[in-house]
Amino acid sequence: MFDCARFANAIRPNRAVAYESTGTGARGPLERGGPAEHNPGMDQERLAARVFLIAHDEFTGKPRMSHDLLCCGLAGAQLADLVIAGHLTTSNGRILLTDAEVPRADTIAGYVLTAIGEQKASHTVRTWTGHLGEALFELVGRELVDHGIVRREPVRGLLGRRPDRFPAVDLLRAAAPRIRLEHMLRTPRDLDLAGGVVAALLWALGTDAVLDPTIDRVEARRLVDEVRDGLPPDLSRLLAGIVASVSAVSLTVRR
Amino acid sequence: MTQDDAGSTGGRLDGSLFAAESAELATRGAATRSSLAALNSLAVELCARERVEEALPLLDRAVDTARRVLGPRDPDTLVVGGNRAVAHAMLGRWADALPLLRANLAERAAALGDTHRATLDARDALAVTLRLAGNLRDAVTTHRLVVAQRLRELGPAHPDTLTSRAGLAVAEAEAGHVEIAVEILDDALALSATRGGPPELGPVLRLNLALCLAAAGRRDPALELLTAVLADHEARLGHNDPETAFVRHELARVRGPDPGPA
Repeated sequence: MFDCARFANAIRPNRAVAYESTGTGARGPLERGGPAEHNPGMDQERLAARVFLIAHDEFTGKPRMSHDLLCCGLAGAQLADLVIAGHLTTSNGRILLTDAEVPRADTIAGYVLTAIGEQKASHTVRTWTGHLGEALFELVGRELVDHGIVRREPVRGLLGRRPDRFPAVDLLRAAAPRIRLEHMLRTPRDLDLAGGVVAALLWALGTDAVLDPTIDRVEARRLVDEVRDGLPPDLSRLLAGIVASVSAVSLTVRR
Repeated sequence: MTQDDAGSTGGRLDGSLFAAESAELATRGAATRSSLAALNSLAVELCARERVEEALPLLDRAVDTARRVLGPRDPDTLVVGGNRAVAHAMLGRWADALPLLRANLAERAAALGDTHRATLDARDALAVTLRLAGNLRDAVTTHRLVVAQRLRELGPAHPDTLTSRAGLAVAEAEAGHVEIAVEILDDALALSATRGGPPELGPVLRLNLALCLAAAGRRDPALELLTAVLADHEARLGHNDPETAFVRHELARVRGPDPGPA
């Protein structure tokens, strides 16, 4: 068991004078530092929002993957978020509700939990990705527009409506999930669970081409294999369900 | 129970937040020693990444579980209790941290003995927190006690002893006893150089010594040492690292304004 008291002994006191004064400029060498700041930033962002942003070009707003695959990825990401938060579990390829209490002010999580909770029987991951994907595309897209990260531009072609574009309003926030994921793939020690799930989803969807082409794909593939092996059982089963859903998407001919 | 039990993936992800989060999620709700280890490991990883606010609820949960499942005197319960107190200290919440640290120290002393290594760790953490909270008199007293106990139990060249001497020096310096701090740091640095301490200790001792020398008005040796420390930081951490930038800033401050051409 790692003892943080030792952690404090080893790091904080020794580095105290130098470390805690870092960046303050005006502070003298022997003055006390202030408390560490916490910046939740993108860490608190829902996985589906990360997938949505990664799936759209920040400048043109064009989707970088097919709409069906994106919907599948959004559903997988939102279900994974709810598994991580302890609201859902998976068993025999089916999604089960473990905590129906809807998080306050989280309308997207509330929508999904309500939908699952209203069913008399449990359903497979594939059923839920098919059912939730389109709605999540609308909800997540709207949330990102409301937060001032992207704007929505409807597109009409000669043969009818085509997928709307979502160019960035706030370029830094729109690009952040992709940049962070690319960093984590290059620096595996910095990978977190959210990053691992998004990476595994992108590879499951066969859409890793949306990431920086200079990333060594062989190494990245190996890392994603390690991620899949290291996922907790619930998420591992969920990912297997997503892979099955992707196969179904790939076999579907859109008319 | 070791940290390695929780979050080991046996590959490049070892030591990553991914491994710690996955282990915690896989054992969540199990109320066992291994689930506790996973929770503790995740909290420590978050603290190491300065995400202490996120770590605190995990540590609260770990303390509750440990007390209930393992009992209040179990060594692992004492570990997570100490970690929770340190997390409060990392956030600068002295009013929460100090009573928790004192209680944890008392519990360790009662369960393990007053000079057990884990008890000395807790006492050292209390001394550091007292200093950071501005209670310099108690900080110096507590640091002196830890140094004396570690000297006796571990010997003068042990990394823990050197670490606590560095902590005592900082507390003495902040209390205005700069020459005493210089003496302690000089001695610790000599021991660290000859007996070999943890790699991160030497640069910190040198930097603190340089700053203490400057505070004592000994500008030339301070400048010489700071120049060497800056070169070391640039080589190890890079030019743009915040700590390198801090050393550069301190060097400029000690050097004073450039008088310009005569």
